[in-house]
Amino acid sequence: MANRNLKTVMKAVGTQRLVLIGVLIVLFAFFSIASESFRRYTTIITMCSYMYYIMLMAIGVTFPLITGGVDLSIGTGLICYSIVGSFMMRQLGLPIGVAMAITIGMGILIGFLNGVVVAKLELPPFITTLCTMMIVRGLGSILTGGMSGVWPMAGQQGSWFRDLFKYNINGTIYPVGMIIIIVLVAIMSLVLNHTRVGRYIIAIGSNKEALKLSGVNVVRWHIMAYVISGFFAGLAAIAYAGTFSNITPGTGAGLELDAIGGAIIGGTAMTGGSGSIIGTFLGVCLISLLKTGLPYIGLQANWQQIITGTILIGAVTIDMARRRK
Amino acid sequence: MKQALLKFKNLRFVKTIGFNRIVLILIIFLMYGLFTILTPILHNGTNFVNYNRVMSALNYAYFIGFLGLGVTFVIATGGIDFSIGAVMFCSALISGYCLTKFNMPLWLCLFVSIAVGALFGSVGGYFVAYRHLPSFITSMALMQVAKGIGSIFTKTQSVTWPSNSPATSWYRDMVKWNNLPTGFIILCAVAAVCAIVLYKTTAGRYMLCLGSNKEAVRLSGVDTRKWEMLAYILSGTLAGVAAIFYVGAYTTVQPGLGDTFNNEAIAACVMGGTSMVGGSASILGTVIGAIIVALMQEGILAMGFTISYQYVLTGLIVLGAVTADIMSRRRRN
Repeated sequence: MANRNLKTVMKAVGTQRLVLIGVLIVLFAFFSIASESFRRYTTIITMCSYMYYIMLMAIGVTFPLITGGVDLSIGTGLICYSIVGSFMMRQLGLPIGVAMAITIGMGILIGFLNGVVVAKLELPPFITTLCTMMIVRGLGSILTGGMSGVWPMAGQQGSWFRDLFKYNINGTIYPVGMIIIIVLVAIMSLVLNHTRVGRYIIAIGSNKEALKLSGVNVVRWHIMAYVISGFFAGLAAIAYAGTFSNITPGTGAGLELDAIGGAIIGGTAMTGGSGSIIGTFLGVCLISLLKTGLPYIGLQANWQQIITGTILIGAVTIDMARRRK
Repeated sequence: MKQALLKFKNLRFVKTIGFNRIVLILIIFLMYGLFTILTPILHNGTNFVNYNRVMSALNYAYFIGFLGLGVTFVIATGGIDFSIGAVMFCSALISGYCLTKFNMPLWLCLFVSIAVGALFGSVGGYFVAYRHLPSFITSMALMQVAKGIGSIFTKTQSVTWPSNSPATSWYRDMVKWNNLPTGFIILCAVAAVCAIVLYKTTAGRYMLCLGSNKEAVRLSGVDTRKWEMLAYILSGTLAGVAAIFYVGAYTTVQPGLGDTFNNEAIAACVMGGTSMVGGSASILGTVIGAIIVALMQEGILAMGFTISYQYVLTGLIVLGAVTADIMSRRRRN
């Protein structure tokens, strides 16, 4: 009886996700044992700061990945959108709400551009988004004249948006951003599995031709996948601004790999056609845990690049091997 | 007019070089003219026409050219290699560290540089060919690994190759000798070898076939994996060669950078007529493309714009070139 219950649980959550949860617990235990300073409340806050922007990017990029494509422009994109948003606020004196809308709007615009080129002109997604990745990398500093992005600091006017992520009560910081993340994970999970957009996006990844022949406007839904990715890159830009103080133009290359890595570890297939937002959530938890924990055992940023790269190759190798079976 | 153009296209030498290559060479002259006119206007007082500027543009063209030649093989097979820029820096950092800190002989360090490149190429090639990973994600992951290894090996310090004493800096003569562009001769020689490999050897023919119809090649009994991997090894090796020419021109290498150069190398390839979908490649086109990229960089800086404009322009050019290629293919079918 107990055995059967376990089996139903395993089926509902998915073996890969259960393994992931196991790995997360083991890793967390490992870091806690290995380093005394890791066992602190602030570590959780640091981990959450990484998690916000990576998670938002990853939720978004899951959609192009499921169509069998990819979006490489989200990393440099989030830096660019964030810089332009802060420029609008500082130099043009726009209220912070408008600046945030512009930030997200730019994300949607670039996403739409990616979508049109990939879906309508049928260019390879990786080369298309590589181009937009370079374009937004330069665009941020061109539009703002090379200034770095500075959003209102805590205590300044308009700093309420920071409270969305870190809420400070009597000196204790609460990672309230996790509420937003969990709500968005739930919503996007529903969107992916229970709405027309989501089902069509999955169908594009598994059999585009069949979908086209059944009379569906494939181009529109294909564009939608990239628009979602761009929209979430815009949200990630705000999360990044909300957790970090200074944003240097021209950076951000490589951030997209954390997000893509998270999605793939979470079980999204590189070949398209399957994937889950909950999986992405767990995958990003793993990436953020590594990002936070590795410095505690003496492995600094450069090691993290190597580890991110290795995990990415490992995850895709396992995925490919499983699928070929 | 149309007939004259058709007649020109059918000329023997035009056919061997390729009409598009001739257009590209014209573009180089056009760009040069444009920069000559615009530079004094936009950046008052400066003159674009200058021997040093030509040399400086060529310095940039060498390493972009070598990177481009390597990635041409990979693109011919229908793949992509995003790691070459970071691998080039990793090669230059490791070999430079061997030279300056371990006092290894210079010839050995140059060999180390090429070997590091070849190693990265082999790893990438293995995963793409034998483990069937998508090439872009493999090479992006390797790009991170290369950046990390370069930084760790040199303890996140920049490496400056020797530039003064003749005993330890003869490698610079390969780039520039008595103010003459010797690097250009070497680039052309390597390009010629690449062209022979790609068009006249079994390996090259198989790589091109892989790009146009992999399944057919595999079904005809060819070990496609071997040839696919070879393309990545060539790409990595040439990134190691590019590293030598990079330090030959600029001497100092900083860790954590280099990932923008692969985009420029890929831009050189697609501008030169190598098709992103695989199956057709042009070595001569890549060399011309590299010169265009280098001239563009020189022009943008001379006119007083920042490097950001270079990023945006390269992105737009690649987008335009790939769109044009795919459109013309669709029209033909």
